[in-house]
Amino acid sequence: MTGSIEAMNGTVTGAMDDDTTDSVAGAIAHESRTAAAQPAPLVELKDLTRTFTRRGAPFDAVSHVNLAIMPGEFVAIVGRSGNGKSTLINMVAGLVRPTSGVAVVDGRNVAGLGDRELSLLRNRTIGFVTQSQTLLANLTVLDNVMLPSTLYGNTPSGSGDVASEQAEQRARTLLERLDVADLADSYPRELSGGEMRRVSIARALMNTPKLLIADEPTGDLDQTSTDLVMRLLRERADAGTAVLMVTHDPDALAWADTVYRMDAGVLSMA
Amino acid sequence: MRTGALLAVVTILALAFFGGTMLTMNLNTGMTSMERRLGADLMVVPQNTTQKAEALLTDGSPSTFYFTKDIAAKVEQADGIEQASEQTYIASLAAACCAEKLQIIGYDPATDFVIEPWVASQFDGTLEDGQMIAGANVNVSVDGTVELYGRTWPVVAQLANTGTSLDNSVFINLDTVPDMVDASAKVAKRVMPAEYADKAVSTVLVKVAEGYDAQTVAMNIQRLDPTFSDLGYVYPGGITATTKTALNALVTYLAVFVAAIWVMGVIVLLAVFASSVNERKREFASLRILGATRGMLAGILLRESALIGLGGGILGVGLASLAIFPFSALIGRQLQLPYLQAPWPAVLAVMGLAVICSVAIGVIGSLSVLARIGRPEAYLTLREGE
Repeated sequence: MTGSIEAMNGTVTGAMDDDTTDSVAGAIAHESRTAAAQPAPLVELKDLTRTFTRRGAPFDAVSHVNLAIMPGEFVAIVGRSGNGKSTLINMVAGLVRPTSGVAVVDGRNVAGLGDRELSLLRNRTIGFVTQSQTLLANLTVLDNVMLPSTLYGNTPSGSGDVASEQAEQRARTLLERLDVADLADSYPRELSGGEMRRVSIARALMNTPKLLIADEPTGDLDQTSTDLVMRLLRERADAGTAVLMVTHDPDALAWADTVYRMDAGVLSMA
Repeated sequence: MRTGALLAVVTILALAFFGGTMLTMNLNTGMTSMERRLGADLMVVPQNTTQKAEALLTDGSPSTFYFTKDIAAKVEQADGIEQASEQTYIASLAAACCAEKLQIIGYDPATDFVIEPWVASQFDGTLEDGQMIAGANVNVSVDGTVELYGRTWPVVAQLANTGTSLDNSVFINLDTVPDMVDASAKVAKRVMPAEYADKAVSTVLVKVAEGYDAQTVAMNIQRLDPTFSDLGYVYPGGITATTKTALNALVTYLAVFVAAIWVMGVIVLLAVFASSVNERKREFASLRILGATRGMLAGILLRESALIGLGGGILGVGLASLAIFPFSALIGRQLQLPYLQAPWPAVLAVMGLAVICSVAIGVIGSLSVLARIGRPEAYLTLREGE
């Protein structure tokens, strides 16, 4: 991959200005201390930019984006394909490194985290619903949903058989909420596109994330299923989860608190 | 499908490695055994019989050749000889006891220094007239006898396998040789003229005195009588130069063959592993999104590839064993070289090594995939599969 990010773990080098990073992080810390009465944003993007090279010419897939998402806030981003929406959410999840700027999630500069800390952040703090189907073919639906809770042993809430039982119970409840409980013992190849999408959403919610990132969560769904999913996302937001959704679906937008538009990498209010 | 292909490749590699190594090892064991059994530094044999004598000691057909005792006695006078012992070789016709023609070896227990040390572990008595010691492949009846030329011969001991034609031999003392010749005359073609029966000597085995080498002693023998330069001189220490050359050539071929298979196998493995990345990009991307570290993905891959290596290794060793162990005798016969099963500890060590190499090759094969996963922003590569 091209770009100026060289570091495997930790510090971002190259095009990113270390002083800028420090000052932004410092400013965020300062703000959290001074604004004790107000909750701090769960996600804070400051001048976030990612440059790619296409046919030898650099272009900004995401250009100087600033955004703050509070806990319990439901944010939707719309825009045509190829305008940087996926790159933006991938940077928030730490899957893609920014060329410059900072993405802070739950008080941590995502680009500054090592592989383990970042992976742990993705596992415990972030739930991610991808645009494409990413269920593991050799696991049943139930095992797929429970997978995030098993990666680091058991969930922080417990350990051993009890935790495992609790995880299974939680997975079944989520599947039920998404109307796919009867598919728990099926394999992904036996599911329709819409069913797989709903199972992916259940998986993303498995570890009760503080931030739910959803890339086109209603892409394959009919109206009934769309309503089902959006109602669940809205409930999660109302319960305090920050939701960041990328969508083309006008029906889905109505459920969001704030809608942004992304055009050629630039984010603006819709 | 992918796992099956990988397993098949590793199985072939393990089979080639274990099979090739076992063949080489068994040939070397056969050679060492042969050399150890031939305690003489020099064999003096009749004119034009050098090759027959060598063949008899390696894996050739039994044969009959001889000169007379007076020549032998004269040869034994040469300077530099510490010990000398005479032996007489007679090739039997196919006998009831044996799958093949039998080599009858008459030796002199009084002067022998070649057969008896070897026999000592299984028989510590004196070989009486009319008694026999049987080679490993000779079928001895339950009553401890062998039927040969219509007579029943008591067998006092049966020797361990040597991987040479000595396994198809019976040993008698020199005084029994005339009886054997008489017996042959009664039921088949007489194996040698009656007048030679008690004075035929096929070889004089010589142990040279300290400070002499076998070649010098051979020269000394030739100086005794001008006609002795026509005799055959075989040097068992460096014996079987031809056998060794053939063995070395075969071992080299085997090594090249095994190496070629391994090189091809490694290339195929790398290709299969590399293509498997494309197949599994989505799976790895999913795990990464769910919070798996690069170490976890590497662990999954390493575990899988090590298991494939282990499975393939065990399968390959098992298949090769099915061919090598039950058909050991057939392989020895086909190769026409001394071939003797190596001791079990060595076999087990090679088995272990073959399995370890298979596991290692599986792990090495997955390194290219690991390298791709280990790159920063591997997710971008992985999500190309989406």
